[in-house]
Amino acid sequence: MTTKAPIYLLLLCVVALAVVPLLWGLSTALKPKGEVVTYPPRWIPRPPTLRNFSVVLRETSMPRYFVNSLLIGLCSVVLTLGVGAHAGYALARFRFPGKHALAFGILATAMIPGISILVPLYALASKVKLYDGYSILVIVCTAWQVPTVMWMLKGFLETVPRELDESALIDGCTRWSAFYRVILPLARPGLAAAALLTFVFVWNDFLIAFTLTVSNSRRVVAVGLYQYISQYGIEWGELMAAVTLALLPVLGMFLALQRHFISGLTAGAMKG
Amino acid sequence: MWRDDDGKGRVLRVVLLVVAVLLAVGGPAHAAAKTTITFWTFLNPEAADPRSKALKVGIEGFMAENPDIEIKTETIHWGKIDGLAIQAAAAGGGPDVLNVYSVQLTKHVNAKTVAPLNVYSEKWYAQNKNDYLIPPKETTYDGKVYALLWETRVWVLWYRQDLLEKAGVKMPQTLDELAKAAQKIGSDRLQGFVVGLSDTQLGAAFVETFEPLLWGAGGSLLDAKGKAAFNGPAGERVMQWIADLARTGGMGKAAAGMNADDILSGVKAGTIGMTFQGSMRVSAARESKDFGSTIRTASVPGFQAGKPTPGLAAGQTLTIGANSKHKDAAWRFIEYFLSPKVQLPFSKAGIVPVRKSVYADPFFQSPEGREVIQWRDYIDKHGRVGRYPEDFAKLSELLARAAQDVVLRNVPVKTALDEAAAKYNAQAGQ
Amino acid sequence: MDRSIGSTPRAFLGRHAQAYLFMLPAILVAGAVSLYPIAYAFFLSLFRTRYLERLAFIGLGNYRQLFADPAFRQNLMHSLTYVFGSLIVVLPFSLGVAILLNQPVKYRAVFRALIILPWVVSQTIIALLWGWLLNPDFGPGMYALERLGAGKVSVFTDTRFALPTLIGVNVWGSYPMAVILLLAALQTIPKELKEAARVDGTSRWQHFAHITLPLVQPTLLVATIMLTLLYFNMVTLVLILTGGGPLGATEVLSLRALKEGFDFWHVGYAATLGIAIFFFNVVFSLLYIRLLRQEALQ
Repeated sequence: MTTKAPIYLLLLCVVALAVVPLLWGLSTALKPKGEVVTYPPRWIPRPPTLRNFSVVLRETSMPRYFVNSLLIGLCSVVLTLGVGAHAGYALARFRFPGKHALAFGILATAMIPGISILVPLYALASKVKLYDGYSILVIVCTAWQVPTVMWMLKGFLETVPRELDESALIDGCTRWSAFYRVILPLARPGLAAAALLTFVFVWNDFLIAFTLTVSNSRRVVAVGLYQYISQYGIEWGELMAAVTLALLPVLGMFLALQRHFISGLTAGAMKG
Repeated sequence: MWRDDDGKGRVLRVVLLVVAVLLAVGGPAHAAAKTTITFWTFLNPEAADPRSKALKVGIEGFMAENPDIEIKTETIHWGKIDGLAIQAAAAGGGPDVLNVYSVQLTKHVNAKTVAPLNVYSEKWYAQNKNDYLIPPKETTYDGKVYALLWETRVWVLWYRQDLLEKAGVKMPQTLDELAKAAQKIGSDRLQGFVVGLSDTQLGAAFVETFEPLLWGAGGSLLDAKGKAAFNGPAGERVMQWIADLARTGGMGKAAAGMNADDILSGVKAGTIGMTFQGSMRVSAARESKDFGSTIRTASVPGFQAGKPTPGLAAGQTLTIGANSKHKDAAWRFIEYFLSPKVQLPFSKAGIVPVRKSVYADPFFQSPEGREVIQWRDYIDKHGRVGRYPEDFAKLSELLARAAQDVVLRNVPVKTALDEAAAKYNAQAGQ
Repeated sequence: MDRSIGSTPRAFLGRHAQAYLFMLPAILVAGAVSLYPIAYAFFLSLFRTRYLERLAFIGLGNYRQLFADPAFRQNLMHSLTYVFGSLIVVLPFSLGVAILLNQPVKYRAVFRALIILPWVVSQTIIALLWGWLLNPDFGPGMYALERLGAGKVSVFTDTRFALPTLIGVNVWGSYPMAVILLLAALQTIPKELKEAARVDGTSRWQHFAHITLPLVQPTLLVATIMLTLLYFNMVTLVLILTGGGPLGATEVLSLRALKEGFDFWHVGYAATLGIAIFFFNVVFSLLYIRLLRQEALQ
């Protein structure tokens, strides 16, 4: 086995690439107002201050926006995974008339550019009186993510050998319980990935939330951040503090899910 | 996760739980029952900055004096509030009171998002004529008043006093002197003067400089029929001045990619010496620890000494939503907002108030206050409120691009302007 | 090859009913939310409009105008360059990173968490942050370049550099999405296959090319489709970073559609652009699927 050093080195390079620009954001978040933009640019705040964070947490509605985004994100994840896993399984296992057309049709709904359907969506939401509510956001976010999650899970479920379905069915399971008890658990990495992708999509989504809500009590983080870009100039310090805080829930979600990205599950099932 | 015995049942339960949560928590956010009027603005009464605090004082003061009316304020980002208002009005809804930036007013009048307020404003203006800075005719279309300005701002020259002093340069009295001063104070670390030509923000930074200079040179953006007039001799003169600035090093090429936010950052960082920017942003620039205290403002010099460039004035207005069902209540709020009671806290937050009586307050003896008086005088004597066609966004994009052509690709000034004019006229009326 | 049990007519019907039942929620959700709006957008594209009012039915008039518009072709070129330029960089890079993250190293979770951070930040923030970093006057990125002797480079005012810079920032912001997908795919490769190859004595490269790559191919296809759709429809990043400039050098089709619809209020024309984008998305997806299915058959 070759030495691991080059691997660590490469990983560190990628980490640097990913993180250094964000460190600039963090540095800005820790700077007092007058120090934010200087020439030459200074990386270390002198003196560092937590004032921006305290303003964001105590004097703005950001905490409320966090709660909203979390709620909508989690609900969307549950719904999207549920809907997408079922459809993905159907595509991976069954052959039925119109399969390819249906699959492509659903995927095609994800090909519609978001900006084109925002105005009709707004009109539709108003008509069914769901405008400015959580439910419409969850429904729309789910609808936008289901196509890709469906295809993604189709791919993962295809790698789960059919023999497992067969043996479950022989054992007396119905198709449904075979699905829930045997197949899905083996697609855990795929499900974890899909959950993460969906959550981040909803967390960062601006267009949908912006178009379909207007009141402060329903505002989400992405729209809240946008408010820092005012006609009087950008409040960089507070904006970056808010951005840093906004990273935490997603990081948390990632750390919680990433242990599911572990191999060896199929191996276990085959031997057992 | 799915290993339960009752696999399918569990899924169903989760789905039902989700739906139940949504139904319980997620209904549309409605308010309760007294006369509630909705007010859409870009300011956030819960925010900590001085303007927002002044807004909160205004709203709470109104509700205290008018207990039968409740105001529900919606804070909508200033870049999107117009689009949302137009969409809402088209769908039969929209707010009772809408804050409209003067530049966007024509659009709203044409899109029928706002209702005329003559029936209220005529009486009001008759009573307050001598105290109100900006006559309603600036916001009148076809004889109907659609909005009233509650604050104003003017585009002025920002300059770094310390840099001018160090270079031994006198305060520029003409645009030529300004260009020379820019050359003198400029270096590879500092742009002497900047006009932002960026496409972002739809070229607004460029037009805010170009238009008043155009007026000063005797021209205008459009003629009476709405066709492009900016490519006449006046426009050429202004564009040539900008081209020369770039050519002689008074302005760097980087300016071609900057918008108003970038310019503000540049001033704060000390990499920009002079620029024409809005009076409402100066306090933000003065937050800079290193350079804030040496930033000053003055009227924009003109092509001739003694004749400054007209001051480009604009401001926030209040309007009544076209579909409002509580127009009387809406007007009462607007009237309150225009009173000195509300004007004073706002003026301490850096806006130029529109009620003259407010200027008697001792605040205006302070250096900041005296600066506001300077701005007021500039508006009073030389100010013009810009009136923009509804396709102003396209116009400003074309103009910014023409300027980029001139500065970045050395396209001759007349060619660039003529091209922009042709494109504008071709698409106008679409 | 369908080896499902039960080939009696009754089981046959049962099998299909089950399939449709599994598909039903997806059909309902996607249909309810997307069908009406896309139909409406198409409907709108057949009219001349003024704000949100439909003035006159002009059939394919907007489409004719679109094809005659030289800016349309430029926008399309920019979009294609943007999309494929980004894909060429992102896909190999992400695969490499995924493989790295799949290695048994210490603190793997920490590496993974840090490496996906760029994607967790929304497009608006990415644009603002990089716009600042690359500002020639006061940006730290450009400052570092200056100190290294490169002189003052202004990427956003040079038509040669603006689009590549945009692509670079885009790749930075979106590579983690592909990494997550590919990492999950690599994780589902059965251990035996990995071990078998090693026992066999195949070289690392052969192992990669003949075993790993084919197994991640379906996921690679999904990632490619997802990223293509994301890039082709992307608006926010371009809007805030360059606004389409300089001189329209980065004005991609989606940005144009946004401007026409929300800034200029040419709603009918914007709907036409939207349908055009939709059409391209469909074409690309079909092409990808066709392409990769052929490779799989070989």
